[in-house]
Amino acid sequence: MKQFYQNYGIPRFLGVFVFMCLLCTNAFSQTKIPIKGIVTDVKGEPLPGVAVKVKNINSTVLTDIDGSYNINITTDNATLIFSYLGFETQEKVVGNQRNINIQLKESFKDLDEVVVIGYGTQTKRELTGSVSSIKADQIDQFAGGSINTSLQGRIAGLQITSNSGEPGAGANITLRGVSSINGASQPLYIIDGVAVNNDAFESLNDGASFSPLNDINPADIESIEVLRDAGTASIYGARASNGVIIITTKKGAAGKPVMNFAYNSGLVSISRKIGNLNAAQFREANYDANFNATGVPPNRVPLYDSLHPYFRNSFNWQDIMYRETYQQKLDFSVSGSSKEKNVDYYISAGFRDLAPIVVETKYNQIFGNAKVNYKISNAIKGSTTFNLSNYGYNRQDNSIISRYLTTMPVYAPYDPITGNIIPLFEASKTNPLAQAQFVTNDIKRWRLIGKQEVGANITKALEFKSSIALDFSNTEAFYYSPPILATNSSGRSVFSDYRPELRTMFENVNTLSYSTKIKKDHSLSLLLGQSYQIFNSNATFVRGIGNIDNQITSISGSASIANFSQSEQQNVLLSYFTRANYNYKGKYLFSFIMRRDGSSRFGERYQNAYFPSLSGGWRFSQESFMKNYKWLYDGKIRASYGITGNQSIGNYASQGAITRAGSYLGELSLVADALGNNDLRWETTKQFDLGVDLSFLKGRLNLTADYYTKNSDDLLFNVQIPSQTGYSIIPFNFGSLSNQGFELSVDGIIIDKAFRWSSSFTLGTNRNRVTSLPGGEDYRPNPFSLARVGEAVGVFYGFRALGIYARDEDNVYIDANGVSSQYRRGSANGDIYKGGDVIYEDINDDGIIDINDLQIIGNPTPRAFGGLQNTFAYKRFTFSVFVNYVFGNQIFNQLNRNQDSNQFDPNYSDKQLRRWRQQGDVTDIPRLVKGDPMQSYAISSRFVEDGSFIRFQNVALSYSLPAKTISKLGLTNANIGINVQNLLTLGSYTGYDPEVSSGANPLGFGIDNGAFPKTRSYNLSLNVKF
Amino acid sequence: MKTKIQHILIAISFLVVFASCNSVLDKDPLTEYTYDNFWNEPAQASAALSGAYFRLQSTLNTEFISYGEARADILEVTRPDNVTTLALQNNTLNPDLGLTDWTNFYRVIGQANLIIKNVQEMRAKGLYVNQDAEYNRVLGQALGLRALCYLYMVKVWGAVPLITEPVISNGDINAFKTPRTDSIQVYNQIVADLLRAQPLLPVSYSDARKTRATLTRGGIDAILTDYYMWRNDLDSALVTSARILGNSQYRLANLYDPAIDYLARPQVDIDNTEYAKMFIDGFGPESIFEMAFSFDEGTTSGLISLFGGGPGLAQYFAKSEFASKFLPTDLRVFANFKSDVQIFKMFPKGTFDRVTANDKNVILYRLADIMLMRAEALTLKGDRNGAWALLGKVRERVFGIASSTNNYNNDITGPTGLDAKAAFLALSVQEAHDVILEERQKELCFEGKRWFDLVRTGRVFTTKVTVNNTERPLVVNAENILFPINLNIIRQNPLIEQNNFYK
Repeated sequence: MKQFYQNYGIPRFLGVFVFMCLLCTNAFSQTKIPIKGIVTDVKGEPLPGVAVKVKNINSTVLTDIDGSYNINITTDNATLIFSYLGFETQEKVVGNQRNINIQLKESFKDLDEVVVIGYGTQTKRELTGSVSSIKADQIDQFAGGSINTSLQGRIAGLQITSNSGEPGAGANITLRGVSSINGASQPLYIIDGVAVNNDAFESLNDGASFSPLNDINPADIESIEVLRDAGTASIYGARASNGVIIITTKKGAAGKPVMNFAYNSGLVSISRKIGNLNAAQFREANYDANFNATGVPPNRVPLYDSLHPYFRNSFNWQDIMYRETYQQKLDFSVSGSSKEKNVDYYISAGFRDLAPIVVETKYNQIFGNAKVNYKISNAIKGSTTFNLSNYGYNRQDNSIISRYLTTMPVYAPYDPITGNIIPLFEASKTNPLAQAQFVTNDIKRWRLIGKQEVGANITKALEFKSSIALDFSNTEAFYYSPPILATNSSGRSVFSDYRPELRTMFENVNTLSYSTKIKKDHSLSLLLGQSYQIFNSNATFVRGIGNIDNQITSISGSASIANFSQSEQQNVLLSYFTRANYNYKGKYLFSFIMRRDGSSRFGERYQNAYFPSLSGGWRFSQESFMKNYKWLYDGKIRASYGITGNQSIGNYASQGAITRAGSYLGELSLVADALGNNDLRWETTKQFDLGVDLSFLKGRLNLTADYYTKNSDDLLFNVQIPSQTGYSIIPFNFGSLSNQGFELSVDGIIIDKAFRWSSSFTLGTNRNRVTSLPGGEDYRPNPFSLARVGEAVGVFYGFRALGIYARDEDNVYIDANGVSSQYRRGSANGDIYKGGDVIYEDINDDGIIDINDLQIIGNPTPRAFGGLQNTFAYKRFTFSVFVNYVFGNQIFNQLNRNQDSNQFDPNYSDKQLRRWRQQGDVTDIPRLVKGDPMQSYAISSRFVEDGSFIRFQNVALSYSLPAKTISKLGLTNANIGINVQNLLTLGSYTGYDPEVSSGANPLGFGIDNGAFPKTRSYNLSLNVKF
Repeated sequence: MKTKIQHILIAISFLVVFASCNSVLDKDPLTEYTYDNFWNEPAQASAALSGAYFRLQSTLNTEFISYGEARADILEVTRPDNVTTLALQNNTLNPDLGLTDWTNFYRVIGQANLIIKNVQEMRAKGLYVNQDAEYNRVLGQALGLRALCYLYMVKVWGAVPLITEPVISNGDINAFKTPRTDSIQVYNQIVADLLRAQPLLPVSYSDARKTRATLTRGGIDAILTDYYMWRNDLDSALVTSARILGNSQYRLANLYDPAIDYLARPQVDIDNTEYAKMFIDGFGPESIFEMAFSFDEGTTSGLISLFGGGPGLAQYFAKSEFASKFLPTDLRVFANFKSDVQIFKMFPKGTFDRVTANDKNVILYRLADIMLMRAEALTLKGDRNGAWALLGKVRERVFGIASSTNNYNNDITGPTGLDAKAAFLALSVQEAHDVILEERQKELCFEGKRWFDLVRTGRVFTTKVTVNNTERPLVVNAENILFPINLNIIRQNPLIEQNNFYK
């Protein structure tokens, strides 16, 4: 039922009601002069539902779907008042005109705009917490657009780092810094009031992670709200530590059916390729690498024969494997209401074809969406929502990037003599192109989110609502490794994997809400609610072996079953919550929230926890002493403090697990697999927020600024423990973090003439540090990163490289006694560094480069990030540029480290052209030696690069066709546009893209492992309404 | 009407609330066991024991070569691109190498610790009524596996953290970080476990495969013999080895057969010998304890990756210096090699099925191993004749009984002929020991024994090896004998001190 209240829902409906009544009472009047006309916006678009009123007389009509109205007046002196929510009210003296067409101008800012908060709505005016939102027109509609791309750079303090350029890929989302270090620490997503299952799902074998948000069609979204502070988010208590993102889908407007058709298509290509060696350069480098390692020339003679028919050409495998593709998206919707206006509906269907940029891949998706709101009686109403998605994706695996980079340039994809594809180079190395053609790696997914809600007004002020919701998904993953690519005839190298995974979520929410005004000045609203949620998942994995060809690739073609497993899981959340909002004269605002959550994931003693918050606001612009400052349209100071939680840990983490490992001599083998922790409890975040909302010049310029501090304790984490325990991890409440930062959003209309220039800017800064760790000891979640008390989260840890020894004799170590010797690697008996080896800083000055010389070498957390949108409109043209930016972070270029230190005869990056070759060479790239005995490719500052960038994310031009032209076609609105996504990225990072997300562990991020590369697209869009 | 509907709605929603109180939050796993609902039935403990063997498989499947042989004088690395094998061969070990990580051993130990503690509690609860044999089997084997792992670890790394209780969380995460325990304490635990296990276990099981591929009383005696030899406690080794020799479960697998001219069709006939089948098919009469691998169970020993394939595919060939030590009439040459140096001990020489080739069992202890260790002990103890008797038996299996008609083993000049015997008896203790060690080398090559033999006899300093045309002793600095401890181990637990040589 909340849909009735969202956005401008309430006022419009109230308006209808009130004006109808008024019309009835004024049915009898004297002379009637009929006036008619059309109300449009400044672009000439008709505005339906505008209230047209005769001044001082209770006579009002509403414009219809074409924006036209008919009203009767009694005298030419009458004044008509045109008012419409979100637009400036206009008055017009009738005079002798009988046909009055009016253009309404959008108002700058609407303080009555309604924002969706948990289990209800509030006007912006009354908000005491920090909530940001984007509307439908800001949501990316290009074919590859998603919720993640839409939010990127648009909400101050919300950092979105997409995992890869793959369709449907997930993103790392941090709101106000890393507040939780567990892998699955995503914000909580509420879609039309349903706390949906947001667990990512993975592909088979390569484990690429996909976002469940991909099941929502961006075209169906009306608004997205982000609850940023505890003052708002704690209504979702236990899961709100990482923020809450509320997605509201579109609903039908009162009136005749409106049909909307949108077509978006784009030409998509890889945005950047990495410099690699060509055949000649590769031969030299490969020779060096082998010769330097063994002292003898390598024996793979054909590779070095530049006349050999199979190896004489030079191929850039990036050119072979990436392609330019054509992506498209089609959306169709119908919305409207019944004549009696007691039923309204929005129904849509969508289709998209996102052909990925890697050859031999495919992606198709369909969407369906329906939302119906209805009144059963005056007191009882209901709503039904369905959201359906289905897609199929034939993909490549996760490691394509490094595979394409390391494939030797001398390998020809096709046999130069027969012209057939070569499945295995030199009978052992897989041809990436053959792999793309013959390996099956598919995902098929269904998702259905449905909700049924009824509401009853027990009294006028007291409303009861009850809803049940279902979130169902079935994901099937397939993987097939065919005989043609089997490198040996081992019975297991041909296999077919199949993994269906069913996830369901059932939710029941019941709320009672009461709102009243006491003596006009005191507004009070109360909410009392309860919710029950149960999540189920059931995944089965089967691997068949011994398929014989590439025709039947499923397990139905397998000779036998080699592996199988099944995992069925449940978790339950039982919650009670309440919220009280009070304001005095709309000037002094208070809000109190309390939620009690019980989770089945924790040990018995810690299942339940309470999450309170308190917030207040002072609209000082309403004070009498501010009346003279007319330029200040509205001003509010807000403060909030509260506690939110996080329960992202395995469903049975507290209990430990003994699981099936296989069998030994035909008997079932069970192994202790996971260590339990009975003391496992909620992670809590205490957050303070101080904010100010200022609005100037009738809302033409608006500014919101927030300062926050966030302290997270008892961080839930699968902590690595020494392997001598027999386990590798334990789920544990581990350490504390603190974040503080500042956020700013400014939007304004800079020029407001026929040429209109509006601009909005967001900025988020964050400083975080680890405030406690068990025993104060360092924790290293992976070889790259370090957690140390007092340091920023996720700092890189390694050797500091000072350069490359130009000559053997440059290696001189003088100890404390002045005795001269040479630096050694690893130990006092270790090898001596020579010319071409890396000079590492010897921190403890003992002449040995070892683990005692590791130090902090970089910080992956940006100092600032945000976006800037500029929109220029002139007549029917709109031009906009959206730029997002990230400053002050560093990236560890593991992709490059991996490639250039690969010991299996890879192709190298073009950095190797600068490599040290002989005594006296002064360079920054060490000598190339296979196996890297001197650890030139150890984790060091050599691979730490500046990750700052400015990206022209979207540049768009659109034109809306004149109403006259299109009305002949029966259309009410038509719009065509072109836009470019990811046009240009400015930054110094040498990898594919500075937007690097390396898995989900926030203690170890900013490491570029080479995910599916980002794309650039040139798009065309067409929107038609009739 | 209106109020009726309201009442119904409210009633329903409150039903949902109260029908689902606290018990609703207690959710147990559906497809796995937890610590609380396990150890309720003897069958569960048996499955956990089976899990311990499963863990042992991944601990030692190729590592038995890496730890026990790759650093010695038998193997030649054929692929110049494998950092690990090169480091082993060139004695340039560093703590980055994966094989320096002891994690897998502790997975077996952790599993064993759980079993040892819980089966005793189960018995106290009366869950093993009338099932003494089963209780003894599970407890004894778990103790034996724990001891076996600690023995391997102490041979490889020296002092290691000694953990004998199930690990549970006590709320202090740093409590998991314990330092290395003095190796004497580890040794004491090993011998205590073995002595406790020995009487618990039967000499055989009804399933003949289990007699070979799970621990028996003989298996424990074998580990004990190995332990005592490693500790140079010869008297004890003589006692435990005597028990094995007296154990009717074990006899030397047959190799020599006067009816067959192996030299005529070496590859075909050798595959049919009991000796070759012991390695190829597993579960031979000589086997005391082996790890069973099965294609159907999806377990692989990884021997294909070590030895399988020709040049450029196999990680190791035999050193030609070693291969040339065999007499031309030594049938073990045919059993061990395909070409001169290509190692085929565990694979059929005739028809070689690559599909299932990777599930060859790995023998950890067999009778010949024990006999030759006993021969060593007897030699050192001064019983040269006793040593010769054992040495002779091992040789007779290969060459046949010495006789004037035996082309392989002439009664005067053959390997067990009078000349050889006289020469052996006349040797100094040191020299005689060398002869036995060389026999061990030939008999047990590619079974992960040689490096440990050289270490425990001190010959690791005197044995020379030629790599890249330069001759060097295997080890110069005694601290270099131990392996380094992996950096990840130290990263996770800074209390672990690196072995001196690698600091």
